[in-house]
Amino acid sequence: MKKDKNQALLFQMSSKGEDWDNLQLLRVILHPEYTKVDFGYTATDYYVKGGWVRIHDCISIDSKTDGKSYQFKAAENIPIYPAQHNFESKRDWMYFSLYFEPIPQQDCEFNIIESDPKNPDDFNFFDIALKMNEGEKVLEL
Amino acid sequence: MGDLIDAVYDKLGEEVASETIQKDIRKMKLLPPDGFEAPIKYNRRHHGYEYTDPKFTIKGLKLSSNDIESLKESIDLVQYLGGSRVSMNFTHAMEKVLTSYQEAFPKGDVKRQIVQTDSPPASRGFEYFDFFFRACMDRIPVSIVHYSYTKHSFNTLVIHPVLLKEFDNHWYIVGYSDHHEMIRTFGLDRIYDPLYLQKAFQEGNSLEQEEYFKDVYGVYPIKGEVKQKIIFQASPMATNYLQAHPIHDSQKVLKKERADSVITLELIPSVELVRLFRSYGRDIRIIEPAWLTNKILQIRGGNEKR
Repeated sequence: MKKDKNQALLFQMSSKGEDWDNLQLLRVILHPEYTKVDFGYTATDYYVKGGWVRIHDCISIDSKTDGKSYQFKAAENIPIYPAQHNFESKRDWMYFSLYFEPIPQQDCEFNIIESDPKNPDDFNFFDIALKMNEGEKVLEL
Repeated sequence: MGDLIDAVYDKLGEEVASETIQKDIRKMKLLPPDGFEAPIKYNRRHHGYEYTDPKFTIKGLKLSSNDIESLKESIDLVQYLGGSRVSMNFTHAMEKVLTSYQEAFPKGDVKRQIVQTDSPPASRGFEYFDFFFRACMDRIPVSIVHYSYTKHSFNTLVIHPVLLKEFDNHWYIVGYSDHHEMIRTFGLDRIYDPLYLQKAFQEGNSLEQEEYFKDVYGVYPIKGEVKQKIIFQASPMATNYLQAHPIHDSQKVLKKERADSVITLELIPSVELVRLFRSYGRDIRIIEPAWLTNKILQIRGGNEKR
């Protein structure tokens, strides 16, 4: 695929979170100025009224390719700790996005770690692999 | 006149006779729609023609007071009927036209409402209307995140939008889905964060799409079902309603002496059609096809057990 330095690449994913059947990593967008990761969370029967969600601002993308840690920049549609979103029912859902520092547009593999890779309560994803020739070019109109 | 002939030559690159220009001037002076009602007069001092109103131009729109009133009425009507982004865009466009005529726009007017329509509050996803309108117009594939109410799960899809469809005050986008490898319908309320993609657009079979939607009541055809004859018996009450508000163009009503009827439809059964039949309760009884009778009886039976 011919790469344009200023064009974002979109990767459609369908990864479940480590220890989370109801947390999905949906899309990764490699923009020259940021990396955007879209998630879907569905409330479960496990918690009263579906429980709650929030994100720690110490979440990062840890690249296995270049060894760098790409820091969290902003969250969209999910509160940042100590705030939290309380669901109203066990059938609620939430679509949210996290922004990180830009990852170079090259084949890579990384983990997304909220704070502790061993904590089953954290939103952690392991071994996410992106192949640039599988990315879709995003049109900004 | 010589200057005029030169000016026309400069613009068009061909010479015209002075008679032609005289004829054009005469035509410009005529009242609309034959001419422009141009205020042209011969100026003896300058030996030439001029507009007596220096602001006059034939490039602007010429609207009569009747035209302006009609436009204002249209805006009111669209606002009553639409109450949506469509009417908002229309109003803005018309505002521009009327502003050029320095017409007071009836924004602050306290008016007696003479048309009331079902205009529900703005629904989730409607903010993407313009986005998908452009995708359909310019044939741009789109990446979407879709949440399924029934499966209680998310999905990421690439769709090739062809049609924005409204049914029962809900908006849907119809297009070819790469994942499903067929035309699918998605409620705008279940779509998140659509993004335009730079890739080849899958045209699909537009004729087939058009035919397909002509033969469906609603937006979600029942999987695997084709266009078929549906016959049902309607009570006198249901007959009155359905005669006044036919379900589909194919509807045929055979009215009986007691005012009940046998009604025939020819269409592809849809989720919305089943829902409509159920809403009539025992005032409607399906005669054909048998599977539809069973489906409605099953749902009805299930509800009665609750």
